[in-house]
Amino acid sequence: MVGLFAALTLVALAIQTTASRWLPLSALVPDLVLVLAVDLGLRHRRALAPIIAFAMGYAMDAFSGSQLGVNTFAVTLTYLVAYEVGVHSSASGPEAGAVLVFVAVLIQSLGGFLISTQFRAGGQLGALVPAALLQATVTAVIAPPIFGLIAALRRMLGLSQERRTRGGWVSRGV
Amino acid sequence: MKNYFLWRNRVPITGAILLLISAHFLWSGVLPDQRVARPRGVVMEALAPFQTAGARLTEGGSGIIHDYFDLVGVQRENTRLRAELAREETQRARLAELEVENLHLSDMLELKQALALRSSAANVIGADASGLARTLVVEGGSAQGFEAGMAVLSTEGVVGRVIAVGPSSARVLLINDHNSALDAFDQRSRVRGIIAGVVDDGLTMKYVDRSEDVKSGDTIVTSGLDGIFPRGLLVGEVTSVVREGPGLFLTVNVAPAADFRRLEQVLVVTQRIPQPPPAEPKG
Repeated sequence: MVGLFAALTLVALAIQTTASRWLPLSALVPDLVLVLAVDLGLRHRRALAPIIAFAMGYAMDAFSGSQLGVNTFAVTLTYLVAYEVGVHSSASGPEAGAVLVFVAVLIQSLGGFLISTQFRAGGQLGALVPAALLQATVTAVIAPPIFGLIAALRRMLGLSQERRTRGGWVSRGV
Repeated sequence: MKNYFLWRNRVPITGAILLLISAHFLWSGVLPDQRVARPRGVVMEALAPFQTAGARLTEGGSGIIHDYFDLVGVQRENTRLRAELAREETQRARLAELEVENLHLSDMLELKQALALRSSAANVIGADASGLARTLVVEGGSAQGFEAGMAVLSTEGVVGRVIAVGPSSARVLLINDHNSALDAFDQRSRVRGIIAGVVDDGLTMKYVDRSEDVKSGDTIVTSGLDGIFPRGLLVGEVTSVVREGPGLFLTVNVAPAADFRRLEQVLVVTQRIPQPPPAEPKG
């Protein structure tokens, strides 16, 4: 699982840092790392998973913004929320994942802006909202196919997928 | 029983601890090149070849895409002629690209000579991963003598400053990022202020007193007093000045001289700049 998510994070970052050259607006670049974090939260319930989410956020911090911790915090938080949603509700399908991705991108963009400006540029937040909404929508739209791709990769690599039973978590080969 | 609770909740507990660690990063205000820089350098190093390949693909790919659109209307031509034409067009686009690149490099060389400071050219290989902050990744790092805090320029004007350096790639904070600030002055009236980024891609000149003489169309240049950018470099042009409203200072909107979305090569000033005499600009 670590290898798969490390490779996927590298691919996601490579796309995120180069795609803006192809696209007319940088807000159209989807936040693929958050999609990975949601998938991790909904489908992986081992203690290693939050560590992977933390590392993914940390890797993203190497390529985003000017302050360390914004993405590390956002990706770890996204993982935890997705994990809790997966545990406490039956909604863990791609649609629920897409909704989580949408909310996570919005919170990361707007919250990250406020934190990195130390809440001193709140007046500019309104100007950021359209771009954040656009990015959240684009990311949410492409999230379900990415969930499908990750599931296919897991099957191909023979990795197990966990599911919840009354007695706790069990793994099953897929 | 306690151990059972811990075991049952090991994932949220691990997540919460990691969340606290990341919150510590945030609240301690760790900047990209301070502490914990080594693991980030490893990530930057791992990704640099992908980004370089992506940048090359973008340069080459644009010609092929244009060729494709040119050929859409020519549906009745036979396959051989179409392929031949595509090859010719690709070749032409590549030659045109080489010509443009040659012009770019000539301009960069001129800028390098005019600066009279040690500097090194670098290709832009990536943008900000979040798409909303304003940073760039350039090819070249500590091996080329790049360090955090160095000025980054283009032939059009000031671009930003280096904020993180890996062995073969570096990150640049653009002057239009909301966390960027540089000391500059109005070339006509000599009024000084701080140029900062605003969310909608422009710049604003802060801390300009209401009584000062700043007009639309004025040229803004670096003062050299921030110790990062050499004096007299073009930052942008004043687009509007708002005198009404509350507050002690004017709202001065500035359009950056450099087009950050089209940057392909930049110049990193690797020599510390000499400090100018602080007397001349007022404000």
